[in-house]
Amino acid sequence: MLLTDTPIEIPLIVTAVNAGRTAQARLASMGILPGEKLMVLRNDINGPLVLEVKGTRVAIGRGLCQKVMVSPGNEESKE
Amino acid sequence: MGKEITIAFAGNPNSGKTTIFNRITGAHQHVGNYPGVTVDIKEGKRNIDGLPVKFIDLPGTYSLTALSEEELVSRNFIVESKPDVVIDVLDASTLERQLYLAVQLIELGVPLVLAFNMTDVAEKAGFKFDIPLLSDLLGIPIVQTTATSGKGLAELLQTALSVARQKIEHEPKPLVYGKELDTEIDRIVTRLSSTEVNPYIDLPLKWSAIKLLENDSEVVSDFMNTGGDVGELFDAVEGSRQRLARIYSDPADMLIAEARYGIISGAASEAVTRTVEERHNFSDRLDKVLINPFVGMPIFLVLMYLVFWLTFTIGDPLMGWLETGFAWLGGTVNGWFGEGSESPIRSLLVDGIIGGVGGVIVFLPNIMLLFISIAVLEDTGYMARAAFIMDRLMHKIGLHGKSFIPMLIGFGCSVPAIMGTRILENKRDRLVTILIIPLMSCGARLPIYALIIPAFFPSHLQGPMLWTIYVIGIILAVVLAKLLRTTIFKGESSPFVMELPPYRTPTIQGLLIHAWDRGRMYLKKAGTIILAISILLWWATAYPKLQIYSDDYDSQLETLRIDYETELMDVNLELGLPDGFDNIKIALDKWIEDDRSELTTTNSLLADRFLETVIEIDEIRIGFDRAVDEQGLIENTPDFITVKYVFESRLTELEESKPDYFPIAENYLDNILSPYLAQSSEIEFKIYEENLNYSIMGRFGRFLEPVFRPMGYDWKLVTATLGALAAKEVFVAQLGIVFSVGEADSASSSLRQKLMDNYSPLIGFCIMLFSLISAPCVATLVVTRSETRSWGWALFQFFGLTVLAWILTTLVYQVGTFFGIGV
Ligand SMILES: Nc1nc2c(ncn2[C@@H]2O[C@H](COP(=O)(O)OP(=O)(O)OP(=O)(O)O)[C@@H](O)[C@H]2O)c(=O)[nH]1
Ligand SMILES: [Mg+2]
Repeated sequence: MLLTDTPIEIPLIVTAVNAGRTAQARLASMGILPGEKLMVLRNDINGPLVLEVKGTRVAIGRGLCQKVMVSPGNEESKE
Repeated sequence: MGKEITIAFAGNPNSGKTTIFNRITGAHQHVGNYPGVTVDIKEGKRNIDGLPVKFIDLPGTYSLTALSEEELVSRNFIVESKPDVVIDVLDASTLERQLYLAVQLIELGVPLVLAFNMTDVAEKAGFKFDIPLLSDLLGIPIVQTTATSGKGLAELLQTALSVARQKIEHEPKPLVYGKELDTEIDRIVTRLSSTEVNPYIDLPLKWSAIKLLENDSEVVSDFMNTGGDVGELFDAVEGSRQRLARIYSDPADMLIAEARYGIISGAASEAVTRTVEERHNFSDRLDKVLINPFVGMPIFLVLMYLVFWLTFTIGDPLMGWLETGFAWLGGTVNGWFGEGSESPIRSLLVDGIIGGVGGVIVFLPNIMLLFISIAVLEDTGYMARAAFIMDRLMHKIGLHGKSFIPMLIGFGCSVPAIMGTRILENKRDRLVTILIIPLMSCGARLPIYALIIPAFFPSHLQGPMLWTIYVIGIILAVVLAKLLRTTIFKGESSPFVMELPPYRTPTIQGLLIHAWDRGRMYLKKAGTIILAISILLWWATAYPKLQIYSDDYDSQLETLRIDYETELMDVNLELGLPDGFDNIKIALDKWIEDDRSELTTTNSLLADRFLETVIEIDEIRIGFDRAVDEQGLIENTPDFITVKYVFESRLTELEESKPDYFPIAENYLDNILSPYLAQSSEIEFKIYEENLNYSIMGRFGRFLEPVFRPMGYDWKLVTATLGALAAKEVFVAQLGIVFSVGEADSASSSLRQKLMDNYSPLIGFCIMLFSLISAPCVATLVVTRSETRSWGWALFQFFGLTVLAWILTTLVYQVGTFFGIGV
């Protein structure tokens, strides 16, 4: 499912990042890439989302978040 | 003696590089609690064991790809300057993310030491590191540090020096990316080792192989630019990519990124344990409120208001002291030259230097306070939240929240603000932000407002007026950004990605260093550029001297004086004093010269009583004027009438207690002294006007006056505006000079008073409006040119804003005049 559609404060796992090359690399450098865990801390009606990734808090624009696919993290994750 | 050793600090943004750098070198570089404080390479030197060691503070980066300016700056520095050792500073409390960069530094093959900084924070968060094991797994020395307290820094330095002197073998363990990736990397390495073309001879072949596989734009173009035959090599890389694509869905660069994190989590799972798992720490709880979509914005606005309120309420009394100090200094220096001296040195010292530079230095407290406030926002970590909150709005004008940080810094000074735009990855975002930053009213423009506003606006309107000016700047910036974004700079803005650092308590020391740093820069500017320009402007304003005036002013002044003295003799008679008794005249002259402060005694009781009465009446009247001024009372309002009644009853009281002297004293003040002073200052003003008109500045100003006329400017304001090009503060200095050259008592009567006498509130507003929008100072012009690498943009900004300023100010002045507002 889309990162923007998930409830907040539940563990998630990134399954795909369907953004352009630069954006992908940028997200990867912040620790957001397939197989990594994260959590949404804030998701308001509009404006950027706040994610918790690897112990840091990162604000990411909504548009970019819509390109990130996730699945619930406590389920058996694909590896 | 060996060669100089170079040690470079690399690391993620906000990990404490600059703090360590400052601690070790004793420098005072700016630290701040948001990512991207250091945007430039900073150098520091220190002798260690008698050997010079050079330290380099690099901008923080999350990776070493060619994604943003800072990443390239850092990578190119490491690749090209080959420091003897790189210290990667990591925030140990978010180790795994931070190690991503470390892995890339290992790939680069540079001699490396890891500083696990913020151990204090990591310990509190419950992290335990098996340092020897971790160091062994990566093959890199690791030192634990707490930069803020200095813990571990000596050891860090020793380790780094040992690595640099090759006392410690530098042999990182080969990184394992996984079977398929390793096979493909090896293939490219084999191909590379058999080819002549390699722009990176000094770097490991494996690094080039990885970068080629990642399709790193810089590396690929460097290979192409060698001019050699890279066809086969590129074919081989493409082949590897295709083989990988058959197995994995992600592109090669993603696979490599995933593999790096794989290496990291492998090492971390062995050597890092976490004893307590805390959810919802302090920062999280605070963020629940501060970046809440409903209350976040109001809180932000209140904080902004607080910043400016503080700057003025605390700054103004301090400024008052400095003003008094300079007035005293001017008076003292004046005193050295004796009564009414025409000495050009007196004029240079008092009018040119004390008047010009002093007029600028008095604003030091305001400026330092403004910078302290901005530093508090930075050091606590609130700045990143402000960017977050503003993102929604900034989006509407085609920028994103991160642009907001440099814009906010722009309220302090445009120069660091424009440099700070490097945190923006997208070139278009960056250019638009740079172009509009001068509209954020900088600290140097504050003196202009602080001079003008109290001169023309009653005190209850002063705060709102200042607020209005700032808001006008912001609105214009917004409109301009939108305009630029839909015309010259069309296109997507880069996505908003920004780390929100944990909140920290700023250290007093840090804030003071910061404020002092800015204060010193301001003083330096006052002592150099502004001093030089003040002297130049003074000279151009005072020379050449007019020899023959259009009228015989001297004899007119003499006649006035004789009339005044005759009338004083009548007062003598009325009091019953002997004809020819001179003491009253002498005492009054002295009293007027001393700014109506002290009275010398005559040796006649009658005369003393009379003089006391004169002074008491005068004091009551001044008290009334001051009360009206301070409370901003408007004539005929109930408040005004009440105050007036209070003072009038005091006068009546006085009249009753001294019935013999009161009428004579009142008559003297109203019918003898006032007309005399008014008439003689009118003549003095004519003399001074003729002199100014004749001076170089006067001629030059009048030459340009027609251009400025539509905005209500006279040539005096024109000259000040020209001076302001060098630095905005000069505007105030030059006005001070223009209104004081040629007057004997220059330092004493206030510039504000003179402005009030000469201009209308409408013009006052126009002065502020034009100063706000028009041509940024020369320093801004230069930094825009160096950041955009083009004179074109710098000049576009310079002239574009000036034309805009002219149009808007003219509009305001003409409309204002037409409707009779503030004229
Ligand atoms: N508690 C704690 N705070 C630290 C430590 N080291 C640095 N800080 C704080 O962390 C913040 C960031 O420090 P800087 O030195 O500006 O970080 P930087 O790595 O230079 O950041 P950029 O220039 O943005 O790349 C500041 O508020 C420092 O006071 C530490 O060891 N412990
Ligand atoms: Mg720094």
